[in-house]
Amino acid sequence: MDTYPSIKTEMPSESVEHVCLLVVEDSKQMRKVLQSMLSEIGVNQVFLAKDGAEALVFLADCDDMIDAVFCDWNMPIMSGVELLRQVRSVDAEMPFIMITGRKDENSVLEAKAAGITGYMTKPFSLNELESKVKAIARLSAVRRDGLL
Amino acid sequence: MTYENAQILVVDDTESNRDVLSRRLTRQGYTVDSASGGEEALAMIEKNNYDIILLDLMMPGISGLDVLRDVRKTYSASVLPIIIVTADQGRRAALETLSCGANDHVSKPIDYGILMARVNAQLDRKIAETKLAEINKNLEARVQERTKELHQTNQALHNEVSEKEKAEKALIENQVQKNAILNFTLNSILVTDMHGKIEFINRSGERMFGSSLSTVRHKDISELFANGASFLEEINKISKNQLATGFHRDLKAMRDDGGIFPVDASVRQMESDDGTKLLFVIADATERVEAQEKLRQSEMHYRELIEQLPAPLYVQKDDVILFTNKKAVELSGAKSAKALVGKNAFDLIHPQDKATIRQLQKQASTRKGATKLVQHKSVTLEGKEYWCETGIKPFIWNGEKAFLVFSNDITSKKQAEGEKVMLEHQLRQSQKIESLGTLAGGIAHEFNNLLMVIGGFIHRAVKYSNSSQTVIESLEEAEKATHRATSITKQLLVFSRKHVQQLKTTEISSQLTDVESMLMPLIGEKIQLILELSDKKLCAKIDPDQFSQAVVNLTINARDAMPSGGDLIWRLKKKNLKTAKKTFLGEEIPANSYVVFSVIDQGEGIDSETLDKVFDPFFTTKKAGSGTGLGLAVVYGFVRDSGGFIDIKTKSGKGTEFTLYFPQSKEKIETPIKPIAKEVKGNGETILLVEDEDALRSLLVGDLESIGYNVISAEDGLDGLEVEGSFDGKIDLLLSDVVMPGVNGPEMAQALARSRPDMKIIFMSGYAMQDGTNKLNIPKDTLILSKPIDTKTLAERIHAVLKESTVEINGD
Repeated sequence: MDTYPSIKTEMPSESVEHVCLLVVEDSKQMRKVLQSMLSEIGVNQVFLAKDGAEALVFLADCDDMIDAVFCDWNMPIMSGVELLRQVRSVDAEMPFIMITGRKDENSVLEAKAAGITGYMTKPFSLNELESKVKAIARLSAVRRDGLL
Repeated sequence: MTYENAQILVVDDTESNRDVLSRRLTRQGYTVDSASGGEEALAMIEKNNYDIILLDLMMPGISGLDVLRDVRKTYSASVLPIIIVTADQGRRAALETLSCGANDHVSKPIDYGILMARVNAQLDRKIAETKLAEINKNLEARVQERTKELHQTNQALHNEVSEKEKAEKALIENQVQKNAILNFTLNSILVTDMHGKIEFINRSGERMFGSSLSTVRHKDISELFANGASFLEEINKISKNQLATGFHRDLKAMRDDGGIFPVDASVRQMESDDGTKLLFVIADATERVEAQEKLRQSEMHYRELIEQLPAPLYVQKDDVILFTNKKAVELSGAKSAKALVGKNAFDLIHPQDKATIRQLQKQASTRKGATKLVQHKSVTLEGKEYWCETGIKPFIWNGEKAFLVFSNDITSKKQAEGEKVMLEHQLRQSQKIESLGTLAGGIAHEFNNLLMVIGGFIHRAVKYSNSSQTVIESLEEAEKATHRATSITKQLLVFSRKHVQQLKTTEISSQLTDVESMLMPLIGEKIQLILELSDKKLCAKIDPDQFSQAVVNLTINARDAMPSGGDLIWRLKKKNLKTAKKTFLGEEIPANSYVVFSVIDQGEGIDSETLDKVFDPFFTTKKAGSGTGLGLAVVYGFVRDSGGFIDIKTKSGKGTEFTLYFPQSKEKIETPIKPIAKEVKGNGETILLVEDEDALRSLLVGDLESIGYNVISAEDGLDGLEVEGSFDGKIDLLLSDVVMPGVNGPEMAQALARSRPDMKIIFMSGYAMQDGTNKLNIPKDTLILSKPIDTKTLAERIHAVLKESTVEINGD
């Protein structure tokens, strides 16, 4: 580490504290778990939606304050992929992380084709979630600065 | 008649009276009849010629008065005297009888003496009267005779007089007429002596010339005309005979006030009492001349209208041209209208359209109006073709049925249509090439990744294989096929202009010389390669390898076009295009300085159908297996990507010329990068590899690790951020794909660069990124490698980039 003093710098704007997330999850229990995990990581702003319809209503108003959507694939009525397609039709860049129980190649390909930004396979560790959220924080920082 | 034989009728109803009277009268010598009543009396008077009647007034039946009245109807008092014998008391009645025509009356009782005296008196008077009547009669006869004579004489005299009068009247009338003619004719009539001295002028003449006889007299006739002297001279010169019959001239006459007006003048010689004279009849021709002038102008206007009509017009009868206008003469190439009139109209119609026009003529002859316009080819008298649009209308010309043929020169319109068709064709061609390019590019891109994987793994399999020779040989064959496939996709990318070109200012002729030595064995002995290269050093900014490839492709094609041999020319020259020029594809070459390279063969030429497809990938006229059909497609893509143009000129049986235009470059010639001879190796540097294609990623990881690099990898942009985020050591290089789902390469690199500003970046892309660099926010100097890329080249590039950074760090 001493050999390379300037290899890696944390920038304050990239802190997860500024990240604002929308979690879409039909299971109440899972919502609770995700919320507490995110809070553990340091994400203060988390919005919860119990299905796709609620998520879309929320995004219609608050699309610009959300940094990323974390969404369960397997939901009744509107699946995660269906929600993703709806989101992509109005916003091509919104980071969309699919949470899935399956990691077979076809499912991943389907999600990729629909335009996911990333995916997480259940069960995932707190570290994995933190890594994702940090990446999103950095991406948001780059995009925000790009807009300025 | 005498008293003696005088017959007397006595009428009395009383017999005694009758007897007494009769006897007394008879005694006196008279012949006496008697009648007892009126009726009887009238009958007797009717029968006999009595000289006197004695009539009693008072009678029964018809009274004496009635008899008297009746007799007087026939006989007058002098012819048949009637003496009324009446009673004295009937005096009033007697007086009445006198008024009724009685000659005398005698009262009763009769005094016979008085009666006789009265009868005698009556008879005397009657005799005297008779005698007088006779004398009168004679006298009258004589007078009548004399009168008749006189009348006859008079008649003769009268006849004589009226003849004379008639003659006189006629004479007068004749004179009047003559005067009237002289004075009321509108013509001037002048009489002069033989020298032209005016002796007479009529009133019209006075009016016409504004002179009276008094002012004109002794004037000379020549003074009345603008050029009268010469007129008079002419009169003097001509023969007597002609002058006797008269002659006529159109002259300009001159009025007293100097006004000039046209006249028709006739002169003849005439004999008169005073000798030989000249008679001039001068008619004012102003109206006639004006009318003629109007007619002439009107004719001229119509003529001019027809002549100036910008469309050809013919009158044609029995196929012979009777009349035509200027435009028709011009179009037909005839020298004048005369040269065209009389010609057969069908001589001007193109042979292939003669039937059409014949048909049109047939249509015209069955209708009143004009036919519709028909487009057809015409020929000039010299046989030059041009396009016309013609209609025919039947009409009467000089009283005979003829055709009015009206036409329109539509040659330029036709040419414009032709040009439009050509432009549309060119547009379709360039659109076709573009869409083919998109398709080919898409396919090639997909295949590139796969071929990289296949090739890479085969390579690794061969490297680490402990298997039998057969397995190794099989793998090597597969590797060769992969190389061929890679070369095809590479060519497709060039054609689709999605290939990354390494543009360098290159000196073309030296490049050509390099290619020539390589090509000589391929050209063969039958073909003579002639180099016509400009002496000057001409440079263009091109990819030299691609250029060499293009020259090879064009030359091989030219060689194949001449199976029995011939000259194959390479021509290189500089060309300054002053105005824009269009290629056969319709692409516009803007005005500029160009380095122009042509490959010319003497082959059979390219037919137009083939020419349309000449740049289509996989289109080939060569035998199956002897060409991929990508040669010209590659040339096209390369030339266009270099900012150049390609044009083809071809002539059946003469050969084809492919010409490449490259904008001339004035920049310094870049020396080519010398290839690094020895195999480059890494020195444990850390590379972050981000590639969404799993197979390619794992291949690259293996390859890079095998040449000494430490590789960490991510499957997409977000993953790249995560991987980097959880890696605490130094990352020397980011090797990333550009286009990835979710977060793309450049965006990710930007985020990464914030925490690792020293990290070097190399992008890999299946597409040419020139156009997209700005959109994707790729920093200007970032190296972009085009896929597919072989391990060796990749290693060299990575080595070079990492070395650069070292140099820079050292430089600090």
